[in-house]
Amino acid sequence: MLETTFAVTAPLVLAYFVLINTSYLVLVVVSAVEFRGHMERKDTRRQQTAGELTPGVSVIVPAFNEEALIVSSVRALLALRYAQHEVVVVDDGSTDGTLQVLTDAFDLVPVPTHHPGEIPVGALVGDVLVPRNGRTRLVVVTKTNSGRSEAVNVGVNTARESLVAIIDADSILEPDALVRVTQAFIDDPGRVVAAGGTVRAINGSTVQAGRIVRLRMPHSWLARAQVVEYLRSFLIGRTGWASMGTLLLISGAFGVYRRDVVIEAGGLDPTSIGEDFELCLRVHKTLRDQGRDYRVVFVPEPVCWTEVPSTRAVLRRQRIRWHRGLWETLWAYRGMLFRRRYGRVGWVGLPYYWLFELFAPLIEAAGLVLVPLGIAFGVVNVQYAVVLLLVSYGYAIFVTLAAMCAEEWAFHRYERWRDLAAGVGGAVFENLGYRQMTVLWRLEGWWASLRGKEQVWGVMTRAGFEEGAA
Amino acid sequence: MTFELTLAGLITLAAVITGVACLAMAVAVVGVKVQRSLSERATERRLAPLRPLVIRVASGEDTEDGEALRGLGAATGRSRRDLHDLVVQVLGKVRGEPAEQLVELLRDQGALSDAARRAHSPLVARRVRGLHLIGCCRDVDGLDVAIHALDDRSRRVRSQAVHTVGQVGDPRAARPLLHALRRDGVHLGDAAEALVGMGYGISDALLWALEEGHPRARTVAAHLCGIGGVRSAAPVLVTLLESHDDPIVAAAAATALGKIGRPQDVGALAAATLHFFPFQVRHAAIEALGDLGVEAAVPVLTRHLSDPRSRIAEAAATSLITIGPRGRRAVVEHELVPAAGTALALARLKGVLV
Repeated sequence: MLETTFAVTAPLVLAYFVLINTSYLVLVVVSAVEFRGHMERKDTRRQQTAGELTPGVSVIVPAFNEEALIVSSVRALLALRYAQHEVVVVDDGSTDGTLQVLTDAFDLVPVPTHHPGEIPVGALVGDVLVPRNGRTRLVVVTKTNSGRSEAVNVGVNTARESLVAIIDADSILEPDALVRVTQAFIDDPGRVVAAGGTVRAINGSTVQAGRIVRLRMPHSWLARAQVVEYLRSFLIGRTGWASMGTLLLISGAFGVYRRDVVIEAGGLDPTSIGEDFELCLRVHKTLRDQGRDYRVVFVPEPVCWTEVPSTRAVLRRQRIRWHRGLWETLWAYRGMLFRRRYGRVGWVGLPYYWLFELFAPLIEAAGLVLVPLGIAFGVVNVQYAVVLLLVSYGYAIFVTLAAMCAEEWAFHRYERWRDLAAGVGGAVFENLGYRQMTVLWRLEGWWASLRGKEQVWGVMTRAGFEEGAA
Repeated sequence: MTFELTLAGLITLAAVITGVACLAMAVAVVGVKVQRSLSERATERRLAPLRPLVIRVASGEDTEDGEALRGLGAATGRSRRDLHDLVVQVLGKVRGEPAEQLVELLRDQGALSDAARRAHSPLVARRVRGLHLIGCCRDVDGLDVAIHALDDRSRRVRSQAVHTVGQVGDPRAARPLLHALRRDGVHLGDAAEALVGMGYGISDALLWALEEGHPRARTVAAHLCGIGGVRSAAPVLVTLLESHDDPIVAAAAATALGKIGRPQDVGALAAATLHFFPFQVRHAAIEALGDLGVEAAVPVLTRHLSDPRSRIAEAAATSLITIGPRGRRAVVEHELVPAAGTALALARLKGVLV
């Protein structure tokens, strides 16, 4: 019976690995074509500035216990190279000195205001504070603690500009990030409703006054694996999906939406674990239900840098949450699958996510369990099993290296040879060791959701990059 | 010896191929970096003797007999091509006689005629580079080529052509550029910037676009009529606002009227604030009434202080304060209305109101 099980399952697992990695390879090729345009434009590139017809952007920063970084983060955001933007910080009931440091740094005073509540919010919204000079375009809103989603919704309610950029408090944006991501909104104001930007890992780098002054690969292998993982999924994956009109996920670390579309869609769902994925899908659904012509675009140049977990404990919590959010969101929007009204989203994007994102850890775990079992019971030849695993993971390493090659060719952000070597090593470790770890955690998240276990967010311990001397 | 094609054999073969492929890809990653490093170093070596000369010319410190310029003129082969790339980079930062000297250098070395030829190349990248050079040199002789490229089949070429005509700055390109907005690949913002670069001679083209152009051209034209002070456009803008076929165009028309409108345009703007207009048109019209600064708008704006859409109410309050004493009195009288209270608080912080 075990022999039969293995004989049936092993080829299926192998076929699955081949399929999933081939799909990544297709995305690498599609992205490389997009990057070719970037390369060819390199010599003719102008310094992008926010010129005529620039739409205003409200940068929304939900903050919970960000005392250490919030002032430098807000200063950097206020200094972004953009003609018309404001920063809206929503203090989600911080218990540390987040509000006090902001008040001291920017001389904040309360202003009487009403809370329009275009997006209904359950939490109690408190004071609205602005700098005493009346000119610095910063607004700080306080509210009782109810989570990031509601904090963002309060920010959207407070925002005054037509576009809202939702970022994390620890995200570092490149100075012309807003210029780049808003180009599509300028060009196609009637159709473009959302834009995502590449998110890359900043661990190991040096940051000064909210700007990266020295980009380095992280020291830890865990973080290095995430660098190449983000490269493959964000830079390559999303560029590829966006070029096919099927971008389903704009990262919560950096995404720009038309404010009216976010309001129309009802804002972020405070009950959702994968709120960024859920919002993007809801926007797709809302607009397709209305039969509207729209576009969700992606900006491939690195525009947002964030600290990735550098310890197993924090990474585990993150991946449990991500996969749980993935499952709950896909399940909630299962009605979009294979329906003509939802076009490529329903026929290509969502099925892909079900098959190759949601089920991936299950299939992989089956392989990881069956092969040793087969060896133990003597129904599988050891040599055969090793070769099978090598093919499966070897192909994945090949795809990751292809993604690195595309990045090195088009963007080459890491200048040192040792960083390149660390990246190549990270590509190997990511597929032999790292992903097997995350398989377990992703299944854990999925199982926790199926059991109805309550999600605990936990706290991210910051340690990743160095604040340089001024 | 016969080869038995078994599943195990196939998988072993695949493992070998995969291993070799991974090694090859790792080598490719390294190779890309090596190739780029070597290329950059070679370029630096070629440019090392030329760079100081370029800087001397660009900073206007060349000798009277043009010693540095003569030195640059002697460059040949690959060095000459690298020199052209360097000069193009520098031209973005230089003006006046030094810029003219560098452009003449490129012209004497045939770079501009090459650029015009390349702009007709079957390869997109070459067409883009050719247009880029024409733009950087602000070469009026290349303008016709750039205008023709506004209708190129490639989006990238059309986009570059927009920059080029803007850099050349000849108003002759205004109407073709506005006409080109009917196609994808021409960014509205880039087109607007290019038109700004052409100066006041574009007024007729803007008026044409307002009346007969594609909606995208109308949006750009409305915007530029506003910031450029083309007052003769006011009647057409009112028509665009009242027809509200396209809310984006109508909103742009409203915004422009706020800058160049006449007192009699208050009526059209006031009408556009009504509930059945799209939000963006209402919002733009309310802001425009504030910009126009006509006190006849005070009653209209005062009514909107209690609008259920907070952005409309806040815009109305801000516009009232902008209008002047009568508007501010209206806001103070309605201080208990939330939007008015907020606007007053902010105005006091800014020192607009004591």
